[in-house]
Amino acid sequence: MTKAFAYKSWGLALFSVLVLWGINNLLLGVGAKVMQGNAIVYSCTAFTTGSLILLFYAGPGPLVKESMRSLDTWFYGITLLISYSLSFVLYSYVSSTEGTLLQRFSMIISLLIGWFFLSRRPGLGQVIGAVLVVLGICLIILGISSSIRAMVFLLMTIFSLFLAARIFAAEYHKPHIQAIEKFNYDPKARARVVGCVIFVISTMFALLTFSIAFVQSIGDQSLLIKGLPVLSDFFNTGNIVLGLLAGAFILAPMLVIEFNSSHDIKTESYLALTSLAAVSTWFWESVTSSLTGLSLGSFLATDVVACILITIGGICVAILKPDKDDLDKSELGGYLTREMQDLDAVSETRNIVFYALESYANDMAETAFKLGIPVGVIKAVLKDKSRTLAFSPWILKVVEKNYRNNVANVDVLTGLLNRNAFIAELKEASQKFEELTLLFIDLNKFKPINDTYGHDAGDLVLSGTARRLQKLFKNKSVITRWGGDEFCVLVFDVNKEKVAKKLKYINLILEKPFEYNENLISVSSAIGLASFPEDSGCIESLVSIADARMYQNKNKGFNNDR
Amino acid sequence: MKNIPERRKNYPRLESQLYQLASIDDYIMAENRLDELDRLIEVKEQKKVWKRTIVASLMMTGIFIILAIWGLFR
Repeated sequence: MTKAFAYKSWGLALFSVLVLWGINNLLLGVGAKVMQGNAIVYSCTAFTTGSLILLFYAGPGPLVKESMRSLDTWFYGITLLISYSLSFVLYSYVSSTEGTLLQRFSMIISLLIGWFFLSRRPGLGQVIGAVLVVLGICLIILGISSSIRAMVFLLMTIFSLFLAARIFAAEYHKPHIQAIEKFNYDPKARARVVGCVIFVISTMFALLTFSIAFVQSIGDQSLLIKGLPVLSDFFNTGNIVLGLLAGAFILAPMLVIEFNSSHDIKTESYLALTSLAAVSTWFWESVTSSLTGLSLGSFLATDVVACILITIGGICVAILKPDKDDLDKSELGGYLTREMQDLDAVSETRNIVFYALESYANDMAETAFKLGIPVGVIKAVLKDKSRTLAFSPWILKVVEKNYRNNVANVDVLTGLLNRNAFIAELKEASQKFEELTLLFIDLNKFKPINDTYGHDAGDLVLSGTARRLQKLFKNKSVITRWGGDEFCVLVFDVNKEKVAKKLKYINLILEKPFEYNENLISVSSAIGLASFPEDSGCIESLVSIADARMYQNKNKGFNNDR
Repeated sequence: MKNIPERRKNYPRLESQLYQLASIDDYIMAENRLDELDRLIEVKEQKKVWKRTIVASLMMTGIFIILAIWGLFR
């Protein structure tokens, strides 16, 4: 992340908490206290217009289907609904100031989740900040009547758990991450995803609110639960209009920023910044009190001290850096990332490293060279007990290409292309070049070498033959070990006659003896030639023709094609 | 459907252009390349889901506005 980008992300998060959160809380208060409306109905209408505005702004495009079908979307929606509902219940036990401050316990929960489950260890400064927040919360809880203290504590804890889960759900929301990675931070793609998420929330919210209002209205009036809506709340024009406007101009940008910030500055920092919400709400209420008619009310001394402690603690957690994990310290952060959700990426990374190591006889330096990564990366993957390390998206493409070229498509013994890769090259070459000549080479009397001197001697002959062929055909050619002691060489843009003239020389080179344990081992070879398109226009049958000719030559006892 | 390369009546367009078109059914009918057809159908599907979401969202907003107006005259 560049510095400019980081500043922008922090600036947006700060703007959201100081301006959008504050104004939203102010409007919520105006709707409830001045317009005598219901806060749940207000939120319900706000979510509806919020989704409409975002979807109109983003327009049709990719990621709509994915967002609507993603479980992450529904998880976010459900956690939001539960946290909203719990906050309303919490506000029925404590004052709005106390409720807002108690909600900051979510920051502590997020720090613990990040630490225990996501390997994001808080730094010392952050721990001190968290202690200040806990002290502030303790002050408020101790000031609450003992008869409701346990209930308030329980509500605060469950609410905080759901709020933290919601922001983590935003941070790891797959379609939103796709909008960032696949569509390069396209604001419209991000808005489209968030629009879909809010649509899901608004639908669930509307159904739930209507159902509650209906049950409350037809049931026994003496059992009405204060704070929950009744049907008449849906006719409160002022509250609904306020909700509709807030949804379009406040909630929509607020949730877009919530998604962006949770990803860009991480959940813990974003929730820590929300500790400023109490101050920003107070600021906007006091600035607009003459307009809105909202009374500011009086604050208890303990509430003021708690507010100061929680705000300072929150700022500490937000600003001070978390403890660098081993990955950052080892400067391998550019190559590897901690992947908590995409387990396929972790598995793919491990598979690439392990298969490559196996192919190169556990030689780390050679494996690292072939994959194009530092040896430290391989060591880090091998030591990764938490199974969370994955190649960074940008390096993965390079590593995959190197793995394909140097491991997956390669014959481990000789270092030549394997049969599948050779066939692919053959097909591609037939589209690029007008003339191709294929040499099918079989080593004579190879089996006795294995039987007499052992497999190590046989391997030496095969790898030695491969090196000689590579020296003979340096340019415009592809070589493979077709199988056993058979090799194929494909020569581009050279006709069969030209190659045939050099067969004697090729045989001469291949027959040179190899030295093994003070023994000289030599093999002769039989070669068959076939050319494209002269012998066959079908590329698949080219190998068969060359193979057949090699056998003819072998049986005749000749070493060349003529 | 057979995959017939190069035998097409329409040239490949940018995805952003496709999303702007009112209907891409004609392109889907004329397209013979499987990969291109897949891309066109994906755009059509995404647009369909977006339209349905917008309509549902508009309806809900409409209901709230009607309720608000109703409340004004109660």
